Amino acid sequence: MQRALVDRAKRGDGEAFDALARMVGDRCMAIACRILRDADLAEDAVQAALITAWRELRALREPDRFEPWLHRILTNACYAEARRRRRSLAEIRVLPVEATYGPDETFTIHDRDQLERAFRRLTLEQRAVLVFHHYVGLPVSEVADRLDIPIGTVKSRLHHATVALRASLEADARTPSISQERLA
Amino acid sequence: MNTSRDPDRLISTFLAEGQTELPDRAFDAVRSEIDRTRQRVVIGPWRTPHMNTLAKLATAAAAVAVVAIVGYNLLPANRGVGGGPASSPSLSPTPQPSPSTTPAAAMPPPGPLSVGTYTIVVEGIPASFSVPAPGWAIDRFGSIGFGEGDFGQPDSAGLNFWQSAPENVYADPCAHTPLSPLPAASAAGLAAAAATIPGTDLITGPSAVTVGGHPAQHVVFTIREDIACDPKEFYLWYDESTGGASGGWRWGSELGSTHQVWIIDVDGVVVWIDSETFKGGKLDLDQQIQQIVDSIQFE
Repeated sequence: MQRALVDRAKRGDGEAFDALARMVGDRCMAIACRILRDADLAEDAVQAALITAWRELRALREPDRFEPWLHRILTNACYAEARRRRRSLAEIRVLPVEATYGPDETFTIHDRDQLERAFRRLTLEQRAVLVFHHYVGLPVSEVADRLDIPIGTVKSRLHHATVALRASLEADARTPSISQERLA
Repeated sequence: MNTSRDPDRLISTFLAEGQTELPDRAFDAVRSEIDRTRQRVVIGPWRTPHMNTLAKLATAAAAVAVVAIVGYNLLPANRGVGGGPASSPSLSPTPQPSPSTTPAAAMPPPGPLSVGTYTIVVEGIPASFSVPAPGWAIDRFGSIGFGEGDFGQPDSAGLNFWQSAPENVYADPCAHTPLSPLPAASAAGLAAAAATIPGTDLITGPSAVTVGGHPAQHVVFTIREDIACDPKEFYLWYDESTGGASGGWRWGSELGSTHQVWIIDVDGVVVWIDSETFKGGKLDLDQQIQQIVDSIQFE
């Protein structure tokens, strides 16, 4: 069905593209939200990506690869949106949390805050790799393909980002004992 | 905190949180915008299949060669009516005698073609052609197109000078199966093959004509409306020499589109020119294309 809509949209069918956008928009929003950590910026990035996709759709050689192609556009739109509104990023709101902490009862609010702070310190490029690997669930090779970067770059960004996030959790773990030592 | 917990799992849990729905207002805004935004034109006979990174690199190298080979070395030779070609995309002072070694930088930047006469190099042969009316432009692949922003729509057209002439057509355009054995590498042999591509309706030809004072074969056909694949997957002919398996090939852009081919014998060298126009147009772009072809001169 998606392929048929892409084919129609490539011929300039706005209705088909609208249907296509509604089919993939939520997933794009989820990805953008996680890269940008701001719902308003993410919404703007998704809008920009969808409009770019419409404008460039005739250049899409493989209609079956619409979504990977769109995700690359989306990632670039996220980068652009973040850079364009860098000042706003300094005043970023905390994401509205819709999920419960239920799936992993060991994941505490404290963990979340630590990870949030550490995640915000990552570069956008590192965030994108993390999101496509850990959230979208793509293997490294597909992340490389989707972001159009070498596999080695994906591995490097993933490594540094993961180390940073792990460090934030480990630092959190050490904090109580340090406090206890000080108390002692 | 229990440090024995799996940090990767915590990271995944952290990333699972957050908004997952795009508000309706965003969809509405996109819809409103696309109604006002034209899709960008993609003109040109080149197609790059999905490839791995290594193949992409190989094809990038091939593409440089293709650009150099197709390499219109545009040079305004005569300021025609309607303003000279001052905004011509290329001001290269000298035609390249050997396009196969022309660096990619010799390729003029894409841009509009003013009314006037341009010198080019095709198959290593210096030549010229004239643009009869405003509206024509050259794209990044070196194709000449009319109707920027609307290629594939009724009043648009594309015209290609192939530096390295296609050596074969597709026996099964949807399955991308080449004709076997290869047609004779002559204007007559190639024109006969082009005139019999399955899924096309022959309008005229092969007809003996003269282009630039040289004997040529002319074929005109349309893409049938009932082909079994997307017209962009409907391959017509190809030239492997411009990049091996990833060389250039031509597809039918739209159902019912009209294709013209001129295969010219320039002192033993086959020169291939093709064009595409679309049904329902009000402008007589086929006539303008014929004027361009009629204006071609070989040095």
